[in-house]
Amino acid sequence: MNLTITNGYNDLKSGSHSRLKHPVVGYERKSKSVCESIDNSSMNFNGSFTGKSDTAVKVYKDLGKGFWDKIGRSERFNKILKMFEERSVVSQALVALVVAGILRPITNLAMAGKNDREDSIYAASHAIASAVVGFVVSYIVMAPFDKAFRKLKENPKKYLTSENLAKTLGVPEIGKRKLEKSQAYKNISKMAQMIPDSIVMGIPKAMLTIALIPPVLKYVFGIEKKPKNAVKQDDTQVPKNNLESNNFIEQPKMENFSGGKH
Amino acid sequence: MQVSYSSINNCDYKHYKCRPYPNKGHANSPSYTGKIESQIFKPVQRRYNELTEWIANNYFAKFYQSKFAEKFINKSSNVKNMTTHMAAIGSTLISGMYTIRTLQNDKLDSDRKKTLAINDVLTWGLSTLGAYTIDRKLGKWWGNVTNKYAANYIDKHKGEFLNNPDLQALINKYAEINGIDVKDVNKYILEKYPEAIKTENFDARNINIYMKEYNNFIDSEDFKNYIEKHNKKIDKINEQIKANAKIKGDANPKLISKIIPDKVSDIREFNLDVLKNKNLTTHVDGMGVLKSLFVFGMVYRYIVPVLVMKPANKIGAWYHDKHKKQEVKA
Repeated sequence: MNLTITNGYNDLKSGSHSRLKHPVVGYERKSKSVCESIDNSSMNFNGSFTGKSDTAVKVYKDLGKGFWDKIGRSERFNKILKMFEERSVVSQALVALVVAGILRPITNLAMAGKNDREDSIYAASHAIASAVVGFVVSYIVMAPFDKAFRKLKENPKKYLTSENLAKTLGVPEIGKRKLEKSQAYKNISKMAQMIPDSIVMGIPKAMLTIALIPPVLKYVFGIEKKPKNAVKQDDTQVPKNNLESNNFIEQPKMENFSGGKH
Repeated sequence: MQVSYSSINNCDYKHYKCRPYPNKGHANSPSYTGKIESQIFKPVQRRYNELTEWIANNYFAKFYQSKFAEKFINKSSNVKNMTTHMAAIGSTLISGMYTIRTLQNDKLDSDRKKTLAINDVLTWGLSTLGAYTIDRKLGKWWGNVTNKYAANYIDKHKGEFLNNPDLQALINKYAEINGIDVKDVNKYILEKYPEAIKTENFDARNINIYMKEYNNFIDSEDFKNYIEKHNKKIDKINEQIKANAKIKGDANPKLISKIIPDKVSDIREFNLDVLKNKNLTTHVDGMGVLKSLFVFGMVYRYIVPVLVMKPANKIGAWYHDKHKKQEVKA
């Protein structure tokens, strides 16, 4: 594979690159010097590769052959990664959907004893319903925010017009590629992405999720919680029952946990 | 106009265009362009677009340019994984809300309130501590997984990298200052790294070697000396540009940036500085988010509630029973 160098000279000359790179790649040089106007013959660099530390580095001799390689090479996985980066809140709800909607019910049912079998089935259905409702609510609520974020990410110059911002973020100017190099930009972007869900809408969304679970359980799964026994409990029974009812499946807190929120 | 089933069936709905008919007998059949659907959804799409534009301008843009963001940026320049912190903040808020609600619940007696509140706090504390610990412990391993993912991506999308004019220009630049032929470069790599894949050209299987060699190059005295001389030349050129701009009355002339070489610490930085592939940056970032969200999701929603707190609740119930019985006896 030969690389024919046709352009790029102007890119470097214009100063669009702030760093000089070491291309340890194969090539065939066919064009004239990059930065020839700057680097005349007096600029003599004879520094070859002057590596100091030669500790072993991993070479992927079996690249593309393993199971995980095949997953990594799939376009579907690439789309998932893109979603996790650009739609972090929905991705968070997706993880909840898998963990609380699949793994947890399976474990609950597997761990259920003879006495609490019925409760476990209810709890498993509850977990699935809350995970599904949580994901759907997150997806709907966050969709316009995610799209707005992608707009800003693709064209930051249009939206970020403050003169001081570039300085604050430690970049020479506001530009997509320049911002990608800024850790500060990465941090503030993640915060901006997740604030609407985590802080502003987190609690209302959790409440909405909780409110939607009973009808979803009833009409989608056909399951309804049986009324508790009206037997009067003595003092020693009360705290025990309360603690049991505080298990992480039936309490609003964990409904919320499995409903798209931490 | 009659549209047969077969003609609709032959359409590419995704792009609202019809493929040419394989059967010549239908060559003049009407095309199905999906205009009807577009007309229906157009106003909805326009409204939605306006909404997202409004959010971009009135939420995101204002947030980035706010005083709070400025203060936050100044204080968090060394923070590396914001996803984990945001997940933890969200969890803290909701756990806090439930704890307060429990404590304010008039239907519960004070003992029960206390027990439930302690349970809430304990769950939150265990989950948060566990999630941070696991996330940190997995960091190095996940870095290797990410590198291999990137190698796979590069290998599969070689064209995207090799046709990059920036990369080609940089290769040319390197050749200019070194006078090293491609054969020498590869020969050198093979001599230095016997385990390297023998290749005439860029090979993703050697990606870790390339990164290491890049850092060695950046770190070399020869290169540093070269950069020093180079930047002095740029200073002179910039002075000339400024002088010319002054004559023309241009207050903000575009100056040439100095070369500021920096070592790379991971595949993301290597991509940003050398490979310059837009998609790979997003995907590598996605790998980091995937790991953190998966760890936090597993710990908060599975490991702690199912595997830790259930037994803990039983212990708590036993302790509470014992305590109550002692009170009754007394």
